[in-house]
Amino acid sequence: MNTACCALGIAGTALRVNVPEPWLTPLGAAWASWAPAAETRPWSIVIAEDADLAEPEGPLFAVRPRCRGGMCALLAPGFAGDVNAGQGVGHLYAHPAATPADVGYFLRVALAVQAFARGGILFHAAGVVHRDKGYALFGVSGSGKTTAAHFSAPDPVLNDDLLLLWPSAGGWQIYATPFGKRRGDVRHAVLHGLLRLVQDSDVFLAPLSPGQALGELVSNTPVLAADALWLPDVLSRWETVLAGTPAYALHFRRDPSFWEVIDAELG
Amino acid sequence: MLSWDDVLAVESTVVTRESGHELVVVLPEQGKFVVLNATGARMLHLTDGKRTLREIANVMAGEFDAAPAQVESDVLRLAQSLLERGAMVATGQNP
Repeated sequence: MNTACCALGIAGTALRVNVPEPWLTPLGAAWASWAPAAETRPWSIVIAEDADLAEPEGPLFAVRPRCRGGMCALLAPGFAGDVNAGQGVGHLYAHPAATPADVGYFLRVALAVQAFARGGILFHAAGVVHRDKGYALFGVSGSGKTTAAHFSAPDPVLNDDLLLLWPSAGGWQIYATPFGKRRGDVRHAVLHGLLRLVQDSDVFLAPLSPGQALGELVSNTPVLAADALWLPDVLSRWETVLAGTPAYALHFRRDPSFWEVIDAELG
Repeated sequence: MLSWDDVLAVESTVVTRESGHELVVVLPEQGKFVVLNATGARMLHLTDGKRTLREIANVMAGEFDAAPAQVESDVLRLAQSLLERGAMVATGQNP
């Protein structure tokens, strides 16, 4: 089986991925413009086919990573994967019936671990750049991230599902990722507000209490919210984000009117 | 249903963090969280795998200068809720 390398980098993250050809082509196309910075040391991620594994019973994204201290395992019929933050490596053995989406999910896990190990946070949120300010619209699956991104047109959408938060001298930045839908070519913006989406018939902002905000943010932190050893550090990192960024519940309906409310309160 | 003689303990993987006047209780196995006010936080701290729910309610009634009946009701309800959410485990009974 021929294998080839491709690379993914966002802010201070970098993954160098060795992947068999059937999965390489779609991933390479999706990541063509996401090369890591030359000075960023990459983690080595090796993907390999293993026909001896049982056939997959479902997609890999349905498998919950088991993590302790930055060492994560993904084990399910058709898949055997691990990510080791201490060594900066990841391996995925996958049945030939696995799809590029399965490989992409494994790389999201690796990126989540690496991002946190290097000072950032991967975050389940839609990122919208409105009047040059970055807003993270977050919530559990079905809360309306894609809907809110849709009704934010023509503002750029960094991603409608997954953002990378990264610290900078000017505050926390939200970065686009290649793992969901985007609009426009903007790649990052200074984080100006954290907005927990609540679908409602009325449109308004309600401040989140510090505890509620912290809990909501942690529960929308993929992979690491399940790592009991790293969880105290995850909480601490979100506390630093909250120290400089307001957090609200955004009650919204299916139209663009919520931006008027946001502009009035936060603009 | 819990009884007054039940002894509970905080589930071993639970991670907590004080935030303002609240206590954030994160359940990493489930990817969920609970936010407790000061009263709930005190109850969680007193839940040590040794005290019965009755003993916890008695301690809190003294600390919060509240009617014992009200505290007992609150303690039992919160303990049941946290048990069902997986934040606590039953460790036995002390008659």
